[in-house]
Amino acid sequence: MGFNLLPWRARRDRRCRYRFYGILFVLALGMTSLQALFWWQHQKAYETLESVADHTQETLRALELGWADMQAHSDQDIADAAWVEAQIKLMAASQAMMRSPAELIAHIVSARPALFWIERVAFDRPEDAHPQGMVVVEAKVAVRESITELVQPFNQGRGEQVEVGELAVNPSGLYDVRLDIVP
Amino acid sequence: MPMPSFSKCLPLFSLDWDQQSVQLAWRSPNAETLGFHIEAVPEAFPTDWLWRDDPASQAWLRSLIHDHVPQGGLVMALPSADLFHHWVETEQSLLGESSKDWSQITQSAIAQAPELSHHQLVFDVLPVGHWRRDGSLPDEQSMSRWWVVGVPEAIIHQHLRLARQLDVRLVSLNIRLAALLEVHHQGHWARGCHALINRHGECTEVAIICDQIVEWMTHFSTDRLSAAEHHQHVISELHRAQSAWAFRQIWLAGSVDSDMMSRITASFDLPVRPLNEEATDLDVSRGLLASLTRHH
Repeated sequence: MGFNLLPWRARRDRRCRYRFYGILFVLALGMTSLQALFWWQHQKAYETLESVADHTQETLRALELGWADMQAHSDQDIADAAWVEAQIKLMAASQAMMRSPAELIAHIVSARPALFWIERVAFDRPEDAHPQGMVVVEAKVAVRESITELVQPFNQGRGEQVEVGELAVNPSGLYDVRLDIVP
Repeated sequence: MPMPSFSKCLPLFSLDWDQQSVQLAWRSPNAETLGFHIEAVPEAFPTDWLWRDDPASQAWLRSLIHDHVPQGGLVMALPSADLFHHWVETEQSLLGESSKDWSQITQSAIAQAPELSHHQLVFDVLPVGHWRRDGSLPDEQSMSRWWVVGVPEAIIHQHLRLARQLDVRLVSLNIRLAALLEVHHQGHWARGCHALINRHGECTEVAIICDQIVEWMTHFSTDRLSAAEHHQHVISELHRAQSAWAFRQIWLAGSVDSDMMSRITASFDLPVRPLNEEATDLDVSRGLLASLTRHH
């Protein structure tokens, strides 16, 4: 390296140029490294996210299945529990009655089998009217007067009382009726 | 670890000339051998044909380059007649790598040599021990003494314009004496003080080199001098230098004629030898390329 009297290539500028290219090289290397690192981290992050997403989906699916399963079981359990509770209370209430609701129902069904369809039997405990509880029978009847005739014997001289609720005509031409059997 | 020259990677060629011929030399980055082509200048061309905006001479040189030289950057040596030299001692050893160092050295040179401020000059500086190639680190003396070279901006633009006209890219403008030192740094003037007389065209340089350090140099134009006056001027400059440095040998380079050699030999009781005894003197061309392709 001798003299170089070109102004932009003077000795100091050559040094600067070395530095410039050196810095440029280091910067390029740094940028490439950063990009590689970013890409690698991005890949890692993406894989992690993908994994999390998969896991989440699996979890959600599991939760959905579990929830459905649990809900099904829960509903069944609740229904079962309610049913069992109702049965126990019904039995307890029946024991307290002079005649059990079963006997009443059996009587009604045997007397007018073609006119009376039992839809539901439940134990209810309305707090204000009958805090001791009562057996509710929901049924459909073809002839409304027949219910009064049927329950009348049970209401005479007995401790329990069978209340005939409002009759509602449904579109099929039958009457929906509710019988509250109160001890 | 020395930093490789940036230009090591570039294909380069040098262009040198004298009154009679044009010398083209090139060294591809991986080739160790020097390629060269020497062409005689047509007699019809005027003396300063290279610097005239003459389409015919430019076309001749352009075709010469494109026909013989591999593509590459152009390296040239500035004519000595246009150069200003000064040596600066700095109080502390400077590395000269920062622009602050460079500026400090240049400002010192301008302060010490007022003629440097009379022109719009472009400067470059090198430590005086720059050509020591013994592998050792520059010593304190080298880094506290600097060779400052200035050249008028107009000369720089003249060379740039020539490169544009030749459709080549100018990558370096060195000086003739530095190119010679680049070639002969290990051989001739390893120990003691030596005098070097180098004639190129209408300009003659006289330099004193001690332990590979250029201690002093002067140049003068021979344009208006007769041969006898020219010889006498060289001898008087050598006597002046002899009293200061007591050189032990005198080297002749460039187009120094045999008559001058005999006159100098007669004046000094010292060995006088040509620097290059080969038939084809490509020292400057080789030195111009070596300055950019050598590791430092």
